[in-house]
Amino acid sequence: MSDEKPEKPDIDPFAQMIQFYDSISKSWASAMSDAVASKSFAESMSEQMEGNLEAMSFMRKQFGEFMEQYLQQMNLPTRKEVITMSERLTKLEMAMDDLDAKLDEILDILKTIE
Amino acid sequence: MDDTTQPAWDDLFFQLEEKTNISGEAVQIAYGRYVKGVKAIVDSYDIPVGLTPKEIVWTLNKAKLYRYQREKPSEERYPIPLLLVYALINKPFIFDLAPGRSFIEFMLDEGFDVFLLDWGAPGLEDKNTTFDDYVTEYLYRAVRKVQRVSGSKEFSMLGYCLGATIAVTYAATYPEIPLRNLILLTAPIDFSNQPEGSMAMWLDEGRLDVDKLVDTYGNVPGELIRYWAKMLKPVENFAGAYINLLKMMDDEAAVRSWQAINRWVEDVIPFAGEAFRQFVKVYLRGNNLISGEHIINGKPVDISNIDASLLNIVAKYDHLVAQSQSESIMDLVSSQDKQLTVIPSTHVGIMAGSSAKHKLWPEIVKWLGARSEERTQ
Repeated sequence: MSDEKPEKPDIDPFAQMIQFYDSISKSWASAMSDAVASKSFAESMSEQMEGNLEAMSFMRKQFGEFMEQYLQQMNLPTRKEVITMSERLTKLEMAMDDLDAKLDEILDILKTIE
Repeated sequence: MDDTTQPAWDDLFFQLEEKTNISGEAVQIAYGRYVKGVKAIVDSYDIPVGLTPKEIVWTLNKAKLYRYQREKPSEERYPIPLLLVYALINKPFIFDLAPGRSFIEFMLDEGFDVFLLDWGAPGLEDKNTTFDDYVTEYLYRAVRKVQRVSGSKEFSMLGYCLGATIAVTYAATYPEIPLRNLILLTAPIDFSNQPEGSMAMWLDEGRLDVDKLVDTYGNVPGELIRYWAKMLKPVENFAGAYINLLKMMDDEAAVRSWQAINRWVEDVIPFAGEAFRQFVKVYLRGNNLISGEHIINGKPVDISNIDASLLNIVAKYDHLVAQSQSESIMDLVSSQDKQLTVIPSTHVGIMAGSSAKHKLWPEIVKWLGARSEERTQ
């Protein structure tokens, strides 16, 4: 009697999943793309977004005000103050960049005079 | 629990083999492929990208200007530098995904002096940066630096996606600056026609309260923009991408490319709040860039001011930017030398797909190379 096992069909469950996807993906993708391109989908997404924004804006406003008061009482800089400071730093960086460029121009002129 | 009652994996496969007549080895291989696939997805978030050697030549706030290290001797290089400008969403390493799949590397090998403007990821402190600020405060200064360090007053600029919108606004605002060549890649410029199924449909007035969105979040979260972009092709993006990965698991190079692109797709950055508000209201809903009603520095932004050589490339199967949104600029510029090229590809595939190095990149080299020589007077 031979020790060799009888040949069995190889089967890859993921290959079956891929085959299944390939067989339906075209029609499925086209149907879904049509669905998301429809006006009704756009409307429903808009409503969902509106609801989320309503809740988030209320929550963030309340929390922001609370944190601002708390930080002021603790004598710590608020987010608004840090942002203002950062914006001023960027403006300074821009001014320095412009000065640097002007300096380069002046040096170029000086080189031509020499 | 008694450990001896736990069957070993091999036994499980053996039992499966006996009972179902399915080769246990085949199941193990399939399982191994699945584990490798999951690992490839997880690893993709940290995969190294943007590896072409470069130096930072300028910074402003979070923006950085890179100059890529040139291998060719100066006499073999084109004298006109090329500045790459990417969009405000996602990161610019789409230009430099991996060695062998890098547009920047390709351009360096062809003898171009390549610069890249990386806008950086805006924080809350940047929420008041407008779309125009990116043109007048950042790009303006970055170009000045390119001119300085390259030693060439003339330069070429390539804008991709929203980067192309910024490049067009820049070129129309500063006609006195010697821009020799302008390359637009999948440029969203004209929003008079918004085809069904485009993202613009969701950003319509009455559908999105852009003021409430920006006032609530400060900056528009990158995750929201990614969700919008993916929802336009839900099956392909939420399922197809991962099925494709399973299909290519035995090809290491293909998996590496998939990982780099996946990292790029997932690695989103926020959109500065005021920039988003202005883009939606002025550029998209008002279409003011095309109508000439947009004002910067007290002057209307007039596209007819653009007289640089123009190569306008659109992707035929682009689901984010329709062809009609890109091509009408051809009739508005003053450029005598202009070309519209349609490439049968997608919005991302045009630059990062496996065929990009055979289609788009040589096309750009051919066009730009012929226009990047020193002018003899």
